[in-house]
Amino acid sequence: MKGTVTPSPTLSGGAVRNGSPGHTRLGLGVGMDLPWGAPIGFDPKRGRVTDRVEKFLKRRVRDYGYLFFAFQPRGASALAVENYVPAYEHLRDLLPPGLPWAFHHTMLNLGTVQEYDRASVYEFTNSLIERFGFRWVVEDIGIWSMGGLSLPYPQPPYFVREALDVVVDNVSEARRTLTAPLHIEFPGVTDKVTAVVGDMDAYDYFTELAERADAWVTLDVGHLIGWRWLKGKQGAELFTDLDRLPLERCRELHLSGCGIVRGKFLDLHHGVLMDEQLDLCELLLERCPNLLGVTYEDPRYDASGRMVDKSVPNYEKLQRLVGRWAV
Amino acid sequence: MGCLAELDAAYHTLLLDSDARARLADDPETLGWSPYVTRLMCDVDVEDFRKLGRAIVRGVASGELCGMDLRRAFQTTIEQLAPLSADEVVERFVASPEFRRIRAVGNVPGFSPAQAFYEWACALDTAARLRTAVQHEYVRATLLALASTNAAYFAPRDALFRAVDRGWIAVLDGKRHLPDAETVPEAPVAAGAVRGRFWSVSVSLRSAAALLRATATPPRWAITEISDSEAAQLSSAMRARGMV
Repeated sequence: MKGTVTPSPTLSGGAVRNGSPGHTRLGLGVGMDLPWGAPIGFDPKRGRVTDRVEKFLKRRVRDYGYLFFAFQPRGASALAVENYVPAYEHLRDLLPPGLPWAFHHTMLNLGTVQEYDRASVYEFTNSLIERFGFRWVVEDIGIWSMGGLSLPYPQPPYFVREALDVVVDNVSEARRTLTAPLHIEFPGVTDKVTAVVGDMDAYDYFTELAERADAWVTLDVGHLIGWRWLKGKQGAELFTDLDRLPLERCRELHLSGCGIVRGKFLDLHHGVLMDEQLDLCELLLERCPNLLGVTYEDPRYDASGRMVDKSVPNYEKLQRLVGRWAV
Repeated sequence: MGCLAELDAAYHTLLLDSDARARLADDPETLGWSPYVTRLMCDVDVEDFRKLGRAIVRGVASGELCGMDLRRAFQTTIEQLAPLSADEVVERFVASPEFRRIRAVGNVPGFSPAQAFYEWACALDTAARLRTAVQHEYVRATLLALASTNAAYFAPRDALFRAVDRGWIAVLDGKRHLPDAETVPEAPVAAGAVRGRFWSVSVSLRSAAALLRATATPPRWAITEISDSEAAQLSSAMRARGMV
């Protein structure tokens, strides 16, 4: 299927332009994974977000310059817009009028090398974009499903050149077909649920992918640290080699709760940011000229919508850091 | 097989098959892969594949990965497979060819985990003693999933399921496994997912026949079991109760 062509980073070829079209600093945003049936999620019986999410948004939504939520399949439902619209309308109605929002996809499966027909995924996504006005679509470059089965955590693509060629085609097609800009996210690696195959460095792989597919990118700060950690880099070395990343193409930074447990890096999404994430975020804010915003991803909060105590100190540091950048 | 297809197949195998993981650690040449793919896979800590494989088994068992909680849906079947634990049962299922038939990501016409599990369990050596339980659990899990949504990602492919105006019904035998959809049940048990509601009840043979006559494809025995007028009368009452 065909969509309206959305602006690519280079527009008509050549280098990425700084201060690109639509470039307004949105400041700090919030991103939430909202599984159906989870306390922080959508309520399948009522077809709306849970009371906990509603209370959190009532408390906190004015902290944020934008919001995204991650698509999760609704039980045994087919991928049909009518199965999702009422719940998404309810979420939209909880936001201040005009607050930009975006859609974190989980079905594009851009890192796969298998045959994967995305026609119905594009149709579904473009219908949502038309109906809800999502400003962009983001998805981690990863293998989200294999042979029709979802994986517990998106696996990094195979870091080999032959696979990169396929993934470039996947991203190019998605960028051309979606009717909102596509942001491809640096893949995550985390102990216990990822197996990394291939001998290319993920920084080089991702930069070549973004350039050849002419795509905007999202840098998840925890994913960057996770990759460096996996490669045996620690301390100051976690923050070097940033110029090997496609910084001019970067539209968004993500920060979700991470931790290092018994020497292993874990992408926990538990709301508690590491100091190293804030340090790297600060470096990236200085170096990404086309950045739209910084997303605090997957806050954790109780039934009254109050953020868990442990997450608050570094969340507030992030707020201040991004606040200084956004003015 | 091209290099990428081979790489992808090897990765898939290592995620789903604990025996292949053991061979990767001990004797990778026996896996039959090219030297290139073997080298790439040997460079990965096999423990990473093992942890990820276990996460897949847990996700399949709990329904997180395919929208059907197999451990709950097939509780009796799994108990009958003792001394295997529930995780061990699912681990064997995950390594089977039947598991690879599942299409649950929602972007393609789907094949349900319940049907895949049913086919796998029926093919086991121990199938005779668990066949009745697994058939009942399969039908129940399928109808519950169908009742939970206006449009499911899969359609029942088994002839036991028969479409009615706003849903699906099935008639089973409370005493034994029904080998096909034409066999007359000794102790009929009917179940349905109609207008978003699941129901299940033991019925007389005549009521079962009337129920099946309300579908587009009734079995032959349902046509001979009761007269047209009696079927119409019973069907009307069942319709009023929301059963068809």
